Amino acid sequence: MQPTDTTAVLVTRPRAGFVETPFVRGLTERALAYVAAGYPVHLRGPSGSGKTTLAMHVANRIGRPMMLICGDDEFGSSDLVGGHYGYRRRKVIDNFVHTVLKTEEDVAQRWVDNRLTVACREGLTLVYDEFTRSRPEANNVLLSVLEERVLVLPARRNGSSYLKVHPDFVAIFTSNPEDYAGVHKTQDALRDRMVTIDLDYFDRETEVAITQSRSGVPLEDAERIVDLVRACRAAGVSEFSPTVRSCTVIAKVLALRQARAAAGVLVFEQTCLDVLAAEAGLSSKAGKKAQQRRRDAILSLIRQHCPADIDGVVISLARMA
Amino acid sequence: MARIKTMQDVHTLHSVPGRAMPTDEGAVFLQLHRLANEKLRLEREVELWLRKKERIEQRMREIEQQMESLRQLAPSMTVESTVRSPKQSWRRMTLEY
Repeated sequence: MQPTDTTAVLVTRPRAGFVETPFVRGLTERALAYVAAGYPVHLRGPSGSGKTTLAMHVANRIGRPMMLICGDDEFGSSDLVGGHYGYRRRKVIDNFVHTVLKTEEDVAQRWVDNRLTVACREGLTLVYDEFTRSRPEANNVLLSVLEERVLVLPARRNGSSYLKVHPDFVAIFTSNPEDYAGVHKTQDALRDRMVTIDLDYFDRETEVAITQSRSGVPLEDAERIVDLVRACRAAGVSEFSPTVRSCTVIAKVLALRQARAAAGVLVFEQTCLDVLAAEAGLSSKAGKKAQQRRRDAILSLIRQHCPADIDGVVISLARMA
Repeated sequence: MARIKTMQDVHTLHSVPGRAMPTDEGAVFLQLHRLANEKLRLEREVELWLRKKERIEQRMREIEQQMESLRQLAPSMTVESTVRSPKQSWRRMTLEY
């Protein structure tokens, strides 16, 4: 069956300024080696560790069109393989002999392949992002795909119930650690069929390169922002561990408002507090005190990692109270 | 380039080889007459085909010349002509990461 009009595939492309440091290159080569050996790759790591971007980069290097699925708690098997959506009505009126009228009519359910089936059939690269957010039983269909290279489909499907997986089919999975909110435990059988690469936060060099590339701030500012965020992460100041995303948010705002990363610059300090001191809303007195302690700790880290003696900084704005 | 399928690939009664053996002299004569006619038809077809091939080649040479002169006007532009295959009927979306 040819893909329907609604079936779209993704062609991945690194954005301008995509950073490939030796750290990223090493991870990519490892993943590609497992793919070449015929094993699905599972990238597991905390939020902001670059799992999805790395998966897309590996898909780009594989060179086949990509099919993206995002894990969801509401998913069932039919959301992966397909299902019956709508009906097809057929009516034949035969009046070839004018004295004879023959009519024939039937209504059949219409089967529509979903993304996993299309990827298996056409040999695409499947990126199943955050697959542990789907319930484990929804992913059962992947077991035979990854091991026996056969996709088992419902018997009511038009055509064969067994689909031989295309030799070019590659699966890349990403997931958060199991202690994250909204994440299910991975099935042992499924985990056993894939090679898991545990990712941590990027190294400093990569974080600086990403921050500078995404925002356009000077290298010195990018280094100061990254050092500050890494210090916050190490000290456990923020409620959630800040990632390279926090670095790029701060850097982009600085670039937009033409400010520098230095203690005493109001824009910088305010942005750092907004981005790094965010927490679940606490209105109690204790909550407010904790929030004030967090803000003070961040300001202290700013003074430590981003001293005011940066080139070209004119502190013209009043410091925050 | 993959061989393009045409109506010529559809088997018809004419293109399915006959199986019956001639039984007498009259049948042989008829067979000879039929084959002579077919040979004549094919010869005419070859002649038409060669004339058409000549016209196509002439037109292709003209197109090449026109493309070459246009390329000289705008050297940085490149145009690739590709034959659409069924696989390219995907609706593609570019995703930057």
